[in-house]
Amino acid sequence: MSPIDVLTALNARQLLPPEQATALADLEQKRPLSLHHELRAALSVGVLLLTGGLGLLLYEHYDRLGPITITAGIAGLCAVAFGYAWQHRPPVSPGPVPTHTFADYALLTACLLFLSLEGYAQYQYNLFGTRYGLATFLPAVLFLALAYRFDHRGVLSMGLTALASWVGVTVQPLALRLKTNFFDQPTVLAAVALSVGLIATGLWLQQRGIKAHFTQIILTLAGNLLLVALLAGVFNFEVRRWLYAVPLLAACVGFDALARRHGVFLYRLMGVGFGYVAITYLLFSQLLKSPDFSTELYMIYLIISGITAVTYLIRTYPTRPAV
Amino acid sequence: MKAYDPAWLEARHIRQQAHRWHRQGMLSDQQFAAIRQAYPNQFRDLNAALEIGAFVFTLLATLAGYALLSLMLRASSGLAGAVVAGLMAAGTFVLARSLVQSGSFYRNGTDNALWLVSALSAVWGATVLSHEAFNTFPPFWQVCLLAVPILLAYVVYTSDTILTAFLLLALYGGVFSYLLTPGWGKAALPFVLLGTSAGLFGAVLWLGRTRANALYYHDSFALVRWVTATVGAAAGNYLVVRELNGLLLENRPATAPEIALPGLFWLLTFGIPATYLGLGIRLRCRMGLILGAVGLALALATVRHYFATWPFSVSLVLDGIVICGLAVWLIRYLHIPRRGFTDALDDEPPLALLKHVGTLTALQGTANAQQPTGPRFGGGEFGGGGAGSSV
Repeated sequence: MSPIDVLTALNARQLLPPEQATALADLEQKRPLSLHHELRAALSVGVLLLTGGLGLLLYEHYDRLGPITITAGIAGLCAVAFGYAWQHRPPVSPGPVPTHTFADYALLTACLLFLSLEGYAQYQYNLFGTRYGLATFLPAVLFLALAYRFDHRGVLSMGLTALASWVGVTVQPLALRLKTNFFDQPTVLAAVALSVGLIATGLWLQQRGIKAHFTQIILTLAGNLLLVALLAGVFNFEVRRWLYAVPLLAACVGFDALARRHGVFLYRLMGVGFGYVAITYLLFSQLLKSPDFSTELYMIYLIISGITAVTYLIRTYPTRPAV
Repeated sequence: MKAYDPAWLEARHIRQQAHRWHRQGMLSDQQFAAIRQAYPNQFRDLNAALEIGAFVFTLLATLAGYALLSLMLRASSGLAGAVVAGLMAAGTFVLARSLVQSGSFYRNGTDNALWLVSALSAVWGATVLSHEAFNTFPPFWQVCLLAVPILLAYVVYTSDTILTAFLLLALYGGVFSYLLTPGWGKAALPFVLLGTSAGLFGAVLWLGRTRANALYYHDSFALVRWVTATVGAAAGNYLVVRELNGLLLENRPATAPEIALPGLFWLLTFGIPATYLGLGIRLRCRMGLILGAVGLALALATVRHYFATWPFSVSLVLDGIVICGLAVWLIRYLHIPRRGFTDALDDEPPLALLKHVGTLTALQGTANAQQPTGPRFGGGEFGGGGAGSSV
């Protein structure tokens, strides 16, 4: 149904004066097609190809180019990109600020090049020695600071991902996987501590009105990290299973409450999804593992619990004035 | 016969369009309120995240129901299996219909899952019956042949996009599978796929001429247009045809051999995306622009794959520079609307994925540079420029 069809319908019910309907029809026919998202997507793909290609190019030719040329080349490009971004930096503000399109991408390029530079410096000059933590912690802190200064959601995501990497978790969206070492208890505990810290900081900053529009990204990334880590604890550490299960269920309830308060229902989905998996696993592994229980009973459990979860998700959604 | 009330759908669409105009200041508050009153929203309003959850949990419950029914009737195969599949198809259909009618559901996850289980159970029931009748399990193309009319009937009734995707899968899967058998089939495959895509694309355009169809099947038609245009371009692409032909050979050689009519396929490799792009510019069509641009990029990659003497890294850098340069130029050029295009934001929803490409790029870039490090607070390897393992 085109906008012209809508105008015809509104006209038929005399909901619009004919002159206004004609003006709207004229406007709709002349309305240009927006390529805003497509062009920015192309720019992002271009930046990824360019930085990836440069990395590969240097890797292939590092013996011919020499370490000084390579270091100077990456550092120079990084400085140019960052200089451009700084030249067009947005004003300092605790709220969302309009940003310069090309400066946004220049900052993204600078950050990606910084990672290449740091990696090469560690490889060639052993810059950080054996203090590997510093090599991952440094970009994380830098990116988080830049994200807040430049009001850049992409760089914020990079900073949070680098922090997760610092505790031993790698998130690769294009590989559709979450690489972890969650069979190792210190890693799980570190991931839990980091995510709790991030969530608390995110909520505190929101309360103070500092870049409140970043809260959803922080809570989504850190929340998933927390729930995955606790669930891994439930699965992998049988002796301390309940020590992970209780905080996990509490976190699920907490995310459900956050969904209600913030109106972000992705949190409810996270809470219900992780909670369901944990409860089902605990029931099947602890209570229903007796051979007396038949397969039919498991099926009945899945039916009843599935219906309960659906009912909860649908019924608890607040009725809002729909568009 | 339609699952959802077309009048409700029309009202919903009019409210959405009016909301857009109101937000842009083209309708007054009073006018918007009058439109909302004249076209009340009858459907259940739900959040996208909750709809995904409702879909997954409904699927879980219904599949468990299927398993329970099979266990109780001890019917995992044979005629009894077909009866169970039929019972599931009918049961989930009745449940979905009752939820749509009494609960005002419209693509809220639960109804999507129930339609899906119902349709796939019907397909499975028909397949099992065919097995019983002919005493042999039908080949894949025959399963697809059975599935297409069933799925088509469901799509006509529900206009469900997930079922439309399954219908397209069955259609293309059936054609592909059937053509692998006869001797002439492999040679005809690209032409048949091109013809099928063109036919489907044309059929959807023809069906969408009426306002009622265009409204009710809006998303299904859009999916068919995107998929058929993509398959059409892929079926004419030299690299796809040559490499697929090489894979289908009995004694698979290390390098795919030259195909028949290479000139024609080189022409199609560039001709189809160029046509899409031309039509996209002329008709101001987003799909034509995106598929045309991506198709031309892949056509250039095809040339590089067979003829380039420069390394892959150089290609990546050059591609990155060209894409960034073109995007920057177009953003500057379309700062002021020109030739029916603009860089300004509007309310027309583009592909949601496009909005997130920036974040994905950032995450992927970071992840590539931050290899898994184990529990020692870092201790990992770096990727990126010339990096190898640390120490």
